[in-house]
Amino acid sequence: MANKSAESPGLAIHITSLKKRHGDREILRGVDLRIHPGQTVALIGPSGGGKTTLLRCLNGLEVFDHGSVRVGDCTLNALSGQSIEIARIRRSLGMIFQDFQLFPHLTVLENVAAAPIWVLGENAKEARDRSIHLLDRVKLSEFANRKPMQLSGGQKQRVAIARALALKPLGLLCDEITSALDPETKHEVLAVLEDLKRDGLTVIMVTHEIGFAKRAADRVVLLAEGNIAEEGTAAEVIDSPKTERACKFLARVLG
Amino acid sequence: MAGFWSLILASTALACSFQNPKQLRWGCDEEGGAPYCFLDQNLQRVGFEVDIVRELEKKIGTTIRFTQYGFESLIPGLLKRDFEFAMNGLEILPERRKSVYFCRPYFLYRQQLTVRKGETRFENYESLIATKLMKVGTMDGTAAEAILIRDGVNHGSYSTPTEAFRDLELSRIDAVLIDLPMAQRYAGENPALAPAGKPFAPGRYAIAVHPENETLAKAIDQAISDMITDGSLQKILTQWKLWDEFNAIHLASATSASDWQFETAEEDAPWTVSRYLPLLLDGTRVTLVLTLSSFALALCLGLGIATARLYGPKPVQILAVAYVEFFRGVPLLLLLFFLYFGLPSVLASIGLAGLGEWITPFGAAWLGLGLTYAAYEAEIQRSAIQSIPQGQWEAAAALGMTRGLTFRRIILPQAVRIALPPTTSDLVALFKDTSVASAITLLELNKQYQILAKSSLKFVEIGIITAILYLLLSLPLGLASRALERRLGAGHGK
Repeated sequence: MANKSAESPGLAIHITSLKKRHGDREILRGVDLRIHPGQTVALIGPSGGGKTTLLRCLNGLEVFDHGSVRVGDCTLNALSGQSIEIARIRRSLGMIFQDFQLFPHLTVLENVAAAPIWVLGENAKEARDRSIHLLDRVKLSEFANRKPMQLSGGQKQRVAIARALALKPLGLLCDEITSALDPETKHEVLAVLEDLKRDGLTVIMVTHEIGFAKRAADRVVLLAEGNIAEEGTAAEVIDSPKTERACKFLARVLG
Repeated sequence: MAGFWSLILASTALACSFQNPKQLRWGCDEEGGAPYCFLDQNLQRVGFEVDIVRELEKKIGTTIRFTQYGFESLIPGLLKRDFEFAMNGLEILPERRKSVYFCRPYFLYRQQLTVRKGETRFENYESLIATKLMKVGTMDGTAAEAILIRDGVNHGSYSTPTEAFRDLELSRIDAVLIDLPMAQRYAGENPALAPAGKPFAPGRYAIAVHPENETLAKAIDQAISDMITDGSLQKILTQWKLWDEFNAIHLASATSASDWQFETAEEDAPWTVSRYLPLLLDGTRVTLVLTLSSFALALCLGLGIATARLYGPKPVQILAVAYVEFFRGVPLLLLLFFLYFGLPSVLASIGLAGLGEWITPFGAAWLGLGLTYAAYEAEIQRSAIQSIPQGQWEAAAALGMTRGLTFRRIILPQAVRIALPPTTSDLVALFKDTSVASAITLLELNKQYQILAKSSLKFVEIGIITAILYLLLSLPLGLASRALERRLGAGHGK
């Protein structure tokens, strides 16, 4: 279960002794993590534990102080503005945000087609056709000509997923993508995410949905105080935590 | 930008003062017709005023350059110093005398009524008035027009005598009342037309000079006196078949003073709406063009300064802040005075005198308003850009967009929507501030109001109409931008 087949289209991601400090505060204290192509990894842990920062280091939204990150065949090193490498990573690694960040002045269709046209230089007609297809996949094609503000939270997040998929990424970074949603709309988004697993994408998600993590994640990583406190299959980490810190956290979130 | 500047140059003549005594500019409308100043068959400029000007050159000892100017704009053009003197059958009218200095008269005209041959309904001007049915043609802004208005005669005002006499021949009007020289020239040889009654209502043609240009006024007064004394004026007028008994008796004693013995009709020429509205509309056009062109400058420059302040290297940021603080702090009036009156000498002192000549009243007003409002626009646009959440930058970055692309495609379009309401009120404020340009002689709406109100003393009436014109422009500006706001704002939000 931990290892998908070698011919999976997903990305291999290697994180090596990653350190990041913000002023006096150490946010990541040397994280090592190897993610195989096509794996779905759930990052869980208490707030302030460094989950989101770790995610943002992977596509260059944050620079880090020490260590390295390898995404596919691109390598990022500490404190360097490697814009070419970052640009390559961003094309192969989509990101979805907690607060959606759709472009409010564009229609749903334009949100999805924007990057293919402007970044990849795709023919506009082709990009639109492909975007309609992606909207169809998240079951929103009839909303193509609406503006984001006319959508519910769950719908917005599905558009954001379609938008990330429009660059044909090999992996997805999901930063608490259901935290801003009410319970009824959460499952629409999680259903889409589960569906994506079949494509063999590498997915790293920061989540508080322990139930979903248990069902959908190949691996669960518990990050606390900038360190990996525990990792393994969902069953190993969630059902039988070994460390005291993991026990405490899980006791709190599972009630 | 270069095209715009050349447009300004083409449309607005330079406002230079009487700097070179070796050359004078003569404002005149050669389309106004014979026998004053016109083009003959060989396209040579001829006329009795051309001959008088040649004589003036000799007497004053300067060269005089012809400057084509619309007849009805001769007085404003003179006041704006587009030329040093105006001479084109300008009648000494009370309202005109209030704004310009009239030199010694060089010809005494009278009004002549012209009719179609065989007219039987009336035989002279008095019997025409008695019928109360006739329509009389005349020329815009002439003493004859004032007489017709005074007597309540149904009349039409033409811009050239040719049009008036053509309509008389075509029976569209029943008579033409016009200065004798024009009546003789245009109707004298036409077998279909004939004079009706004797010439009446004498008046004076005189050269108009800017009231502050006393040196030139004295020189011309002296030259005309000399021409009367030595007979050269009589010779010219005789050559043009204009010398008559009336001039022979009275020209030598005629002055440009207001109480001339023969003048009665002109003194109470009324200022009607139809007389001053065209001038107000002319000013409205200037105001509108100035508003739109300087606001375009303010928008472009403002965006440049806003982005310089937000994203430029440190020294550029400091310059941008300094720009904003400077132009927000300096009063517009002071800035316009500097640009119009001061800048040319500054440019001359650094060897760029040629550049200074490009500074017209319109150019200075355009630049001053544009620079000032760019400072306000820069602040509006900066805060609008900053109000776009950081998450939008990150979302675009995560999609592989560069910062430049993100700014153009994602941030700016949203910022424009946010900046629209304050920008609208900025536009209306600029629109009203164009009135400050009247201080540098630009003939915009406020200046036209001032001139007309002072000439006619109808401050309230013309003031109300001017205010209505301002409102007619500012209300649509507000409505249009609100409509734009609604259209752009539709679907705005997260």
